[in-house]
Amino acid sequence: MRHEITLEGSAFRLRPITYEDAALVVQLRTHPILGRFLHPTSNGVDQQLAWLAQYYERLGDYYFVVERIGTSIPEGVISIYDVDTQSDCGEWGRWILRPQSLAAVESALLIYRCAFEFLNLNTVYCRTMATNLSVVSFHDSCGLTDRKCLYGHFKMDGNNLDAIQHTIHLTQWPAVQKRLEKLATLTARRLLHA
Amino acid sequence: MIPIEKSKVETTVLQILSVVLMLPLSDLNADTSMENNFKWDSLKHIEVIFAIEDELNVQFTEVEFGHLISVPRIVEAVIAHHAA
Repeated sequence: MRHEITLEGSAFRLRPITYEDAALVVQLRTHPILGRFLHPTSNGVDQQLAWLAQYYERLGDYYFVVERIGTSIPEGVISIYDVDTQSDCGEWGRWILRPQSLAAVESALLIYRCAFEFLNLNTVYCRTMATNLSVVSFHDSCGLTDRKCLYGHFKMDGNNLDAIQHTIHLTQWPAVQKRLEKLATLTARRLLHA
Repeated sequence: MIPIEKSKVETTVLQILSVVLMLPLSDLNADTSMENNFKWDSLKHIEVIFAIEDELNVQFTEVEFGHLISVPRIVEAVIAHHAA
């Protein structure tokens, strides 16, 4: 959906995605390493533009570009979608960052801030392909202790693939926020003084 | 800076990895990397690199942060900083 939410952290910001970002999304999704765990769809610029046109019409879907404060150079993309205003719950994902980007911690912090402080959600979850071990570990490292396996959740190339779902509730947010803010601040100090 | 022994750097790096990743030293070795040990994720990476900086008195650049994804690379970078 079209939204105007922009969130700034110490070194990175989230801003609404635009049609001009279609090439960036294609570049990220077709990267040989980054694309390993993504559905091979909408990988041309024209397809991305068509996908974005549909996205703009879809309620409860907030798609962002992660960019560096100061240079506005994009580092990746991230989203919250399937926001259910009845249960105040949403999923975050479509998270792709350039290789060796240091935006992982702060982009996760900002997407949670968006969920809990802007959208006033009570629960946020993310589903990661079970074989994407480093991202599963990342969510564990954030302090998300509520996790379960969704067997055969993802369908890719005709195969049913398991997902690991991490869930965080509003009551757990302060502890996770504290952990992520500490690391994001440390990282930002280095980036800003490099 | 004062030159530093490779074995001392390697031992310190492995000890830090053990603490941060919460893994026994026996699960780590001189070839451990983010690619072969998935507990070493991008959040833990920040903790690992800052801990190494504190312990071994070095300061890595932003570019190095992204490149130092294995024990050999970290050891080499620490030695280079101390030799500079």
